[in-house]
Amino acid sequence: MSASALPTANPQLASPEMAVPALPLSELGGRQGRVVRVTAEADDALRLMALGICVGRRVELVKAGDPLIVRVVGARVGLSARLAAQVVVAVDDQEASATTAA
Amino acid sequence: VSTTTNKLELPLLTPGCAEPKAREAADTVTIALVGNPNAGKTSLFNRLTGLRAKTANFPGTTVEHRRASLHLEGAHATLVDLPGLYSLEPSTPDERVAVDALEGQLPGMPAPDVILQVVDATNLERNLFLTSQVLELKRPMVAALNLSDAAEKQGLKFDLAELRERLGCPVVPVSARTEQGLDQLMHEVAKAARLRQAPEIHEDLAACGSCRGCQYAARYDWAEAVRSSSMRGDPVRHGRFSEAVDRVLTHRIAGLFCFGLVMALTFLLIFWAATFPMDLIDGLFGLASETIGRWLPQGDLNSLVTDGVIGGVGGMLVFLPQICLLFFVLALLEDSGYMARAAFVMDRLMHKVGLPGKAFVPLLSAHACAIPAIMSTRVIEDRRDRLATILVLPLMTCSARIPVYAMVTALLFPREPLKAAGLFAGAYALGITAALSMAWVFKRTMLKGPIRPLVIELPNYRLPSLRNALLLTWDRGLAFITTAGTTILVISLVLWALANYPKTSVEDWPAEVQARLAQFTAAGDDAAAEALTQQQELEHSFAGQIGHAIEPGFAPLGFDWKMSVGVLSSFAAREVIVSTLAVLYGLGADGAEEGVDSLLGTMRTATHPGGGLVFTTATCLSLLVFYVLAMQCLPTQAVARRETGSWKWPLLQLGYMTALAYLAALVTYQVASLLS
Repeated sequence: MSASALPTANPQLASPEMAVPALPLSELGGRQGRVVRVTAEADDALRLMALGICVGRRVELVKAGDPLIVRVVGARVGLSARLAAQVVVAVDDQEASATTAA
Repeated sequence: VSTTTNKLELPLLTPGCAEPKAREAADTVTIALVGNPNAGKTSLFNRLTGLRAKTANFPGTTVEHRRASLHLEGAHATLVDLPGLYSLEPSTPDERVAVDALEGQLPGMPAPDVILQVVDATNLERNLFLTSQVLELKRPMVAALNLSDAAEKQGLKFDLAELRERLGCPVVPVSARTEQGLDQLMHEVAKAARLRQAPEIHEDLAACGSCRGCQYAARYDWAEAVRSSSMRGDPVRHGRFSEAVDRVLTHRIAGLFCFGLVMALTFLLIFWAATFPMDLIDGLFGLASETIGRWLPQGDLNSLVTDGVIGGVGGMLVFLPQICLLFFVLALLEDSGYMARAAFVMDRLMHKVGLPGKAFVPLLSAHACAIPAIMSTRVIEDRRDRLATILVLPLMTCSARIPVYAMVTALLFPREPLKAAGLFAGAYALGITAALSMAWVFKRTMLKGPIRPLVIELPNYRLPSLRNALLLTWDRGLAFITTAGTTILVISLVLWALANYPKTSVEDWPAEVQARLAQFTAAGDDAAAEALTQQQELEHSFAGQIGHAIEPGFAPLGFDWKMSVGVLSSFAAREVIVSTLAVLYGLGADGAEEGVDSLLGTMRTATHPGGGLVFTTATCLSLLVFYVLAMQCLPTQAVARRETGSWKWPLLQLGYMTALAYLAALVTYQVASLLS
């Protein structure tokens, strides 16, 4: 998996072309965003991507904690926080989230 | 997407098990049913096949599937239900087998002629991801848009023509619940089988496969595009109800509390409801044994049939109601969507011993019976996690241990219910502690490996299907009878022979015994004479001789030769020790049934040949600890062999549990002897 091979520590450097802040999925709060990278190891990355946690998908943190719950591609997925920390998400700007919520 | 390089590491199964016939007639159409877990695949399969379905292993693996023959507009067809898949890149052994079967790479199993993909209409986009991969297998395919009644209720509207065009294969809206659309579905499948036409891959989709970079992203983009052009409505809105419920059921504290409540109710139901059929079975077998016993001439054949065969089979079948009820309730919970939540809330706690959250329900089920618990470990993805769980499951206190616990607690605390209850609870706690500790040990030694982090879909709650649960219970019950039943029959026969041969008669027994026997006969006390005869026969049989021979080995635990025979005779089924002790302490075979009190009275006053009570506090505790920890259940071992695919694991289980039981009982006896 090409997406899982990228080593990274700093999500801010993830995608220079994006001006919006990028966060680990585990720290998304109640906001929504788009997955920009999955850095989990191959086996785990496969399981994540098969459930839709994959580059380009919109995700929303429904319930924080460990394990946590995210909504992705119309389904809810329970995830251990350790794994969610290995998914980098570009956060929607606040206004956009507000309109989606309304 | 290729799985040819990483071959299965699954153990081989000896032939002779229910394997599908590889030589299915050439004119039989094979239809493979694929789909996401929770897409209603099993419901659809059950609707199409009912009781005709059989469970079989995929050739050369321990992975099971269901299959059934059906008529397809004049042609013979076999419908094969593959394990649920999220993608064609497998991450569990079951998924790998499903993918291999789908791609025709499983030796002994031809590639399917038609692929019937079940798509959850209420979650079209996610399901279409798998569709995009399955379409590229370029095999004749039909898509069943399942749960279409539920989708309609949610206000989702589908443009079927558009969907057909985009997928390049027939799409039929169906509902496995109401049977709506099934005829048309099978008509399309029959047509696909006749035409043998691969789906026309739409150019958008063709681009995904060749797309560089993350093909997952491209496929999800495709799925999103197809969904938005062929469906109207908001599928997320309906999930709000499940979400609201989940706020409680997945809550860190409330969730655990609810889980505890659900499980407590499950067990109450099982232990309460099972007593009626259990009593019935017990009664029926007792009656059968009595009737046939009167019918057959007295002698070896009579004893073999009544004690060996009927007794052995009855002793196994008596646990069937509990096993079936457990399967039934677990199936309902699974179907409702609750099991995913249970795994979710237990995950963090279970990680402390190195097991995933999904191992918790099997560990709990083992308190009723280890057999269904071992079968229910199939939900655990990682093979090491699953093996560790299977290895420690029999340490949990199953219902067969209860008669033994009851006997020992009654011996120790006959008139102190509070202390007796405390000891009972202590025995349960010991089993749980031992299981969790051993899991911790296994996961750090021979089954070392990282804990798979939790990734689990939390499907929307739905009303569970009674029909599905009943079919699953029927299937699993049958599997229990065939696997465990044959083993226990053989073992009961062996034990029967050991306890009945060599035949001895009065002349072979010590003079003192002969004198007592003559006394009883003279006094007209037939019952006492009969009991003494049985006791002497057993003492001089192979079982008795072996008991005497192994007594030195068990002496450090405080067991006399009678208890040693008990340990030996309960090797196949632990509860047998109660009736064995009843015979050995001279109460006759019916002693245990007549009332435990008479057995207890005799045991309480029993003395060693050299003087001194046999059942001291130390001995009782040691016996209890031994029975908490010892394996002593052959059906469980047979099922463990079936589920792990080799005798290696059940033998390891037997070895470590026996060692653990012996050592713990030794320490208990020695320490308790010192203290008293």
